[in-house]
Amino acid sequence: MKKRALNSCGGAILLVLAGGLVGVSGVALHAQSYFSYFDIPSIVAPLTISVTGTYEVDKTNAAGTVITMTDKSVKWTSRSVEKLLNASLNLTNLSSYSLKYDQSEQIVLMISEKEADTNDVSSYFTIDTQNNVVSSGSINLATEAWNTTVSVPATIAFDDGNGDNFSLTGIMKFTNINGAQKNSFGLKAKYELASGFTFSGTGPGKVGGTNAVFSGAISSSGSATAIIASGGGLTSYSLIYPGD
Amino acid sequence: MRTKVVLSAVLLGCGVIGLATWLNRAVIPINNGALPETIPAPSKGFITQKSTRPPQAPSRMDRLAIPEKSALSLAVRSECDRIIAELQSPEESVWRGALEQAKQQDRPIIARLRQVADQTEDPAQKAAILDAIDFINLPSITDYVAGQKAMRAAEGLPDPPASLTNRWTGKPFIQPPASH
Repeated sequence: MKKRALNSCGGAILLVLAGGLVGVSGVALHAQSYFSYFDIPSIVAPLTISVTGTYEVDKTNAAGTVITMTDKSVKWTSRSVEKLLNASLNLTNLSSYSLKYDQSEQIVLMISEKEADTNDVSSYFTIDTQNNVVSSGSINLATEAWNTTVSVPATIAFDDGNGDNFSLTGIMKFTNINGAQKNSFGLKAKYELASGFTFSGTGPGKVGGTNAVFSGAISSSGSATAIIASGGGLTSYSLIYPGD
Repeated sequence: MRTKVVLSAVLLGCGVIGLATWLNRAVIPINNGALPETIPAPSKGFITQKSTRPPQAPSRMDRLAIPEKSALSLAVRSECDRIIAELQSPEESVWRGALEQAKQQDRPIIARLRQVADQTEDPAQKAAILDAIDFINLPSITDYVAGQKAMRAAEGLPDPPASLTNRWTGKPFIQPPASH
């Protein structure tokens, strides 16, 4: 019963919003035109790593006549890479930190909860993309809404400096979705953004200083709301991440 | 004469009683209608209804009293629930994303992944889930590193010196400020 009452209340609010949107549609277009001059705000999203490293263990029999070679595998997850990194970073309360990828700066960060502490770890962890890009999807120039996927050759490499490292080469698929403008009042415009990448690759590396071959997947995706505000000759944007 | 007086008094008394009874009947519906929101006395029905209520969820204070470790495992369980639910999505991008999240989990999630693998009719999804289970079952690189370190310590060997430059970029590692 309480839920119904809330729903009907929400419906009333929606009606008011709809009326407001009709009333300020001209202003909305004005704010939207400002947006055209700005790059899309970046999203800093968690990095998900699932990579397998396979190394060789040799054993010689007692007589020294037979060598037995065995391959063994270890998994590398986001958490394990964070732990390897922390041997150098020495962060206290490591469990509150996580690896994230800044899509705008194209760097990997170790960020604590609530982003109180941010560490650029790009000297340990690199994501490099090449220039030959293949795109698919659509862009609506009228509404500035788009849904695109960009495929690009990429290399993702990690080295902890203590004999554990990998360099994976493969195809990165970068998806970028911008919902059409949802609402606007006065000189503010609001955009819903979602973007991220998936990558799978193979390559060489080392496990505890021993040569190894690697394969696996790395991904990162996130969403944000961009608010474009204009006034007094100034235009700015701010991002609101889910959970803020 | 006296008899007439007595009879009149009896009749008058009966009339008063009758009037009082009529008035009482007339007032009852008014009272019933006027006092619907007064707190009713507990009836047998009310007591029965109360006794059949399901056990109540812990109050906020009870929940706060749950030890931190249990709260953590509840959070892990809810994360696993979310992953398992997304694994059953018909959209490939959704279940593949959930599978990558599942690979970040510890071994307890494997039993639930097997259940999903048994139920799925998509051979590609089944193969992907079984691959994920194999991945989760692997030893971690950090376990390997810790094992190597313990072995060296047991043999009295020092750890190998750390490299100052990144093997892939050739650039020096940049240490963050020590104040963390």
